[in-house]
Amino acid sequence: MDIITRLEEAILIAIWRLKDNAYGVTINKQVSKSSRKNYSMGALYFSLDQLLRKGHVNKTIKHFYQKKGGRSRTYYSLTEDGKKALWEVRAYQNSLWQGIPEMKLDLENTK
Amino acid sequence: MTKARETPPVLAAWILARIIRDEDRLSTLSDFTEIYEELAIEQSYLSACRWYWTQVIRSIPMFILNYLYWGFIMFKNYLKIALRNIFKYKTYSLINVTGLAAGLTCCICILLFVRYEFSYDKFHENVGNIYRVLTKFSEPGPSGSNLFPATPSSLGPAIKENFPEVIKSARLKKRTGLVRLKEKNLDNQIFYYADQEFLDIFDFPLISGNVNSALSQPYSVILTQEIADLYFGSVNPIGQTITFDYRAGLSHDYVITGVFKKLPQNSHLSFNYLASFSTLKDFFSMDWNNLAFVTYVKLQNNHDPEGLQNKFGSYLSKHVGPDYGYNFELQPLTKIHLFSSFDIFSSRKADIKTIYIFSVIGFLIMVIVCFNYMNLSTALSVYRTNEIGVRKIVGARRSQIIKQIWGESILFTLIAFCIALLLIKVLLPIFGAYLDRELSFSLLENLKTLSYVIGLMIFVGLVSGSYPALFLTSFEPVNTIKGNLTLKSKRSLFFRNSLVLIQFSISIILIISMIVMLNQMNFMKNKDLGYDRENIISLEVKDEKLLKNYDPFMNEINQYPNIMDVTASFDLPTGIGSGARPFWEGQQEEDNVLMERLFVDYNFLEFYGIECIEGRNFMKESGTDAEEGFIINETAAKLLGWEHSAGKRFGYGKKEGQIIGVVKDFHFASLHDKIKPLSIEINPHGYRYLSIKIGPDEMKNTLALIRNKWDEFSPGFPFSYAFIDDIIAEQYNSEEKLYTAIKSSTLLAIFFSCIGLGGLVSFSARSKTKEIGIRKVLGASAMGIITMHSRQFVKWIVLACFVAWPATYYFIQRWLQNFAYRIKIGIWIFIGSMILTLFIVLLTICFQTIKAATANPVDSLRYE
Repeated sequence: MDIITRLEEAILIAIWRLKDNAYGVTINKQVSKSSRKNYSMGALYFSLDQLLRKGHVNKTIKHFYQKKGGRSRTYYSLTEDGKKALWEVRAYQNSLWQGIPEMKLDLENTK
Repeated sequence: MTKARETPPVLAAWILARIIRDEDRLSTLSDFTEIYEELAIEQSYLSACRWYWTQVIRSIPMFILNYLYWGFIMFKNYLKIALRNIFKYKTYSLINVTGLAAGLTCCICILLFVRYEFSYDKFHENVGNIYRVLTKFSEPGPSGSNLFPATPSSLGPAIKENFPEVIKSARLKKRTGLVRLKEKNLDNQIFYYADQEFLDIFDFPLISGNVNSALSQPYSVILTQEIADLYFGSVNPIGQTITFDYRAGLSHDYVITGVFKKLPQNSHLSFNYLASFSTLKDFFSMDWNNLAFVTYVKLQNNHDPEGLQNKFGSYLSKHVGPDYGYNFELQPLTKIHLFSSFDIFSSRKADIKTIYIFSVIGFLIMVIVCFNYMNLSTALSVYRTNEIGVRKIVGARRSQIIKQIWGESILFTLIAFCIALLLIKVLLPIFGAYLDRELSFSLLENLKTLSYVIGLMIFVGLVSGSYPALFLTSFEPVNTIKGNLTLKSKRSLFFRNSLVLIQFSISIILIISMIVMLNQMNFMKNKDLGYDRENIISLEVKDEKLLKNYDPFMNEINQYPNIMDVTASFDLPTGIGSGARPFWEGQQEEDNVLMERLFVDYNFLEFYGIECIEGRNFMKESGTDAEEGFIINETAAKLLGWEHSAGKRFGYGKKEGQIIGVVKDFHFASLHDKIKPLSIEINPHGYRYLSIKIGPDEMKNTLALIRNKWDEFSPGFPFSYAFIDDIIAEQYNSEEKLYTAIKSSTLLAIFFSCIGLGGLVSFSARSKTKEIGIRKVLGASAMGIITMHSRQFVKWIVLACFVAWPATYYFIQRWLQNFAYRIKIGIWIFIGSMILTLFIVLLTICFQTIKAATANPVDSLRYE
């Protein structure tokens, strides 16, 4: 299994953080806040669908009828597979960065 | 704050809506709207709009990509289902696809052949401006055509001098003889003679020698590469000499002045030796009387030949004389190969009519095969109703299912197309070799045609998929699963049955045509030609010595017990080709006919059993027969308008005499043409062939004896003999091949029809298993079931017959017009073909129906 992409990782973490309130708008806000990067909506939705295709998330569609024209939101939730994928990427990260505290210091200095 | 600004920008929203999948559309749009509203409140409508637009534009590629990813996943599923369907009905799918592929292969092979035939002579650079001169006779015509490519030798130079539209002209003459070089003797070589300008008009490049002067000197010759290799190996033959023995006493040396690059096969001219025309000035009177040459001209660029043609008449009457009785026409080079059924000069020529027949058959095969495919696929698709119902329930939209089914259908046809390509690569060389043509198939050359074929395949896929795609998907899913469908809806049944009807009609037309064609060919091969042809050997004489001595030679041979008779003639009765214009008693000013002239020995007519119906035969004793005696055939007598011909004045040129007898007509040319007028006379100096009639036994020994005698009298000259029977058969050889090819393709077409029918029948039997099971339980016999089942097919066949018969009759009549001597079509042919078709069909049906009828009803009713 391939390691999930950075955006996908960010989205999965966001969904986990948001618990029951993970839908398009909230995920977008959360990812922007946590990663301090600006992703386009399209990239977001694409990655969400990619996660869906790989089976890392489930989606539920809820309809609202109060507003005119009707609204709906698709809520996303993590699956077991998704959780595993998160752990994998975490482990991947850890093994990559194992024992390199100095580099971290250098980076902070040159910033 | 106007109302318009409270909602997101309409255009952007519209774009967004278009590129998102249906199921995500509402949610995604809602999300966008939510953020828009937040931004509008936090900042301003302007910045909200700006955000909206930038997001939409930036996201377009991602949304499209998303769409494609989902599409791919769906595609994998469709593929899996498609393969599953194929394997569920292995045999039918296989038959279907291979049937389509085979039909495609046949059709394309035929197409390539037809295209090749039309490509003849087009490799010459100036092909549009090159014409062949045809002589047009004004006779009160017996034969079909009064055009002939034989022209006088003066025509070439005269036409170039007097008509500025003619840039170049060249003459061509053909002779057969023996070619000698040291020890290598090759007999029956065809020597062509051509003017130097011939090489200017036509593009036959030389690999050695100067193309501008190779034919300018008399007694020069150009060889083809193969012949040069044969005689000289790898040595350059330029400057060397070979000897050509045309006839006894006519043997000359020719200097080799060039070697041709390999000549393309699709040329109406095919020669191994091309000698200079100037050589012939010693042999022929170059006048307007001797029509024994072919003349080609090249006109100014894009000049209309009509105008030039019209000038010929006045030129002839002014310069040559008012009563020549012929005029000239120009035949474009491109038309020579296919439209010259009157010709003797072309090699491997074909008739345009047979090409048409071939194309029609190819087309029919395509039609039959496509119909088969459509029919069978439609029948098979009925079993997919369950799948379609389930898909609908699970959420597929109708358009998705339609796309799936059509996609699958088209995929199939394209697979058939690929298989066909493979088959073509393999089979085309064989097909070409059989028809004696070099056919090649390269994907690149034929791209345009192939794209048409692919288009056709897509069309067939669409049509055959349209029943399931459009009709089956329109049901409520509940009904399909419960099985409430009336599968035998009127419209689909009508569609399928009319396809079957058309197929049957086509098959019947083909069967009848094939039988008629076979009969006609047999008739022509076996028709009594009016002279004896069995056990007769003909010897071609080229030795001058033997020619002078042939009387003693023949007498000695006649001594042998097994030799029945011997005679000599200039031409064999199998093919007389020298024509001339006679004068006769009672001839009017305008009267002018062309008659064939045959020179024979005294006992020729008796030898060949040609009956004299008026007057008498040639007799040595008469004394005058050799100088003055003419015998004509019935057609000639009628043509010249004599009731009694004996004694009437008759002659050619300087030879004047009278008619001493009239013989019954006999066929001395192809059975395509009516018998032409013929005159026979004695000419002791002009015999080319000895005919020897031998007894049926001990043929080998007799041949050996003759050969020994031959070597005695004429050493060094090859003993080339042929049986008259074989010569006749040979004449129909190339035609025969084409007809056999047509026969084979017809059989193929019929075969495909049967396969299609078989598939359909077996399928219909299979789908009726429950019905048959119930019938058996209720007491029906196997026989009864079979008859009941077959009855509907019989009905269709009879109907198809009535449709096919009028069309067939019309076509056959038209085809038989080609033959002056033809068979008659009886009613039994039509009835017979219907019975034959019924037989084939019932056979196919029986096999399948028996299987169903004898099955145990318990098995078929088990899942009730």
